[in-house]
Amino acid sequence: MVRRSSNVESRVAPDATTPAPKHASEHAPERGFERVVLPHLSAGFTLARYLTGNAQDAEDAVQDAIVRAMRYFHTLRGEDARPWFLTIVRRVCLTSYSVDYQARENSLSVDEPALQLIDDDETPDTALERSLVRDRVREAVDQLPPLLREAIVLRELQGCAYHEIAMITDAPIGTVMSRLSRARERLAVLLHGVVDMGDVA
Amino acid sequence: MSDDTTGRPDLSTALREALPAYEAPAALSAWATEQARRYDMEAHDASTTAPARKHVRTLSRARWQIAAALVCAAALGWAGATLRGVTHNGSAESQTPALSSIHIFARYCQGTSSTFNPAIAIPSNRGSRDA
Repeated sequence: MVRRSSNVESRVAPDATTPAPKHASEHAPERGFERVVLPHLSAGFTLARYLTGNAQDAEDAVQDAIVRAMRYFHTLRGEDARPWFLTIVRRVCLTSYSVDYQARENSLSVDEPALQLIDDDETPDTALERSLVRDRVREAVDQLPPLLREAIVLRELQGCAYHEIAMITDAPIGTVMSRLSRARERLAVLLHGVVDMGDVA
Repeated sequence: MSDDTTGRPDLSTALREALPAYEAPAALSAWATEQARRYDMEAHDASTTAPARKHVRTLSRARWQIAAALVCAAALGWAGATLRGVTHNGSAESQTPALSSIHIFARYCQGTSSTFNPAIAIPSNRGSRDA
């Protein structure tokens, strides 16, 4: 491994770094791994961050996912690699980083940004109020079961379409819609009076 | 986006504000970029330097021999039938060309081809017919 010491090294085989391209002739230079997959690195890291619950495991998981993505790059069809890469990241988190979907061991651990005014018109009071809303929302999301939390993060944070979430989570699209609906209903209850839920509740 | 009547943010806005999207750490990005470039370079080299392997169906040596023997048999049979037709003036209908070719090929395989004489090689029932 080139990167600094990491516990990924023990999980990834020594020869797993830069796996030999399979069916190299299928890979035209303009369809390179760097151009197709690396733009989604931060999306993968964000997903791993919310699934594993901490930055170090997320970093290791993404590193592991990159190695796997190289190995299976020849299986990628089409140009949109985001759901494909997020699927790999999720599987790595699931298999190697003890993301337990039945229990609720992992909880959100969000790096708290410093309280800051977003524009000149905002008063410290409104900034404080915004910060409190943020805390309440985080607490509410943290109380969601992992499957519902995962669906809401993919939908609201990553902006994934239903069919992309279905692909990433390996679930039927109806199940995805059901999970999102249940997640919003729970959030509506937990955030009653804090956020405007529209017609969800 | 916030609701104008209540002043409260809607769920999507509140979620995006509460749950930030993270940038991949610089060390991870640098490592991934290096690995990706190496991977792409290897893929590019493999596609330009190594000749593309074509899947051409080829016969094994034994199958070539069998195929060649069959072609020889067919050719000898055809030649024999033709000669027989010429020699016996059209009485070849008593023995089919296929049968002739088998007979000739059998003789050929027995090593009599060096003294091959179609008139001898091809059994004929002309005599009995003449008798």
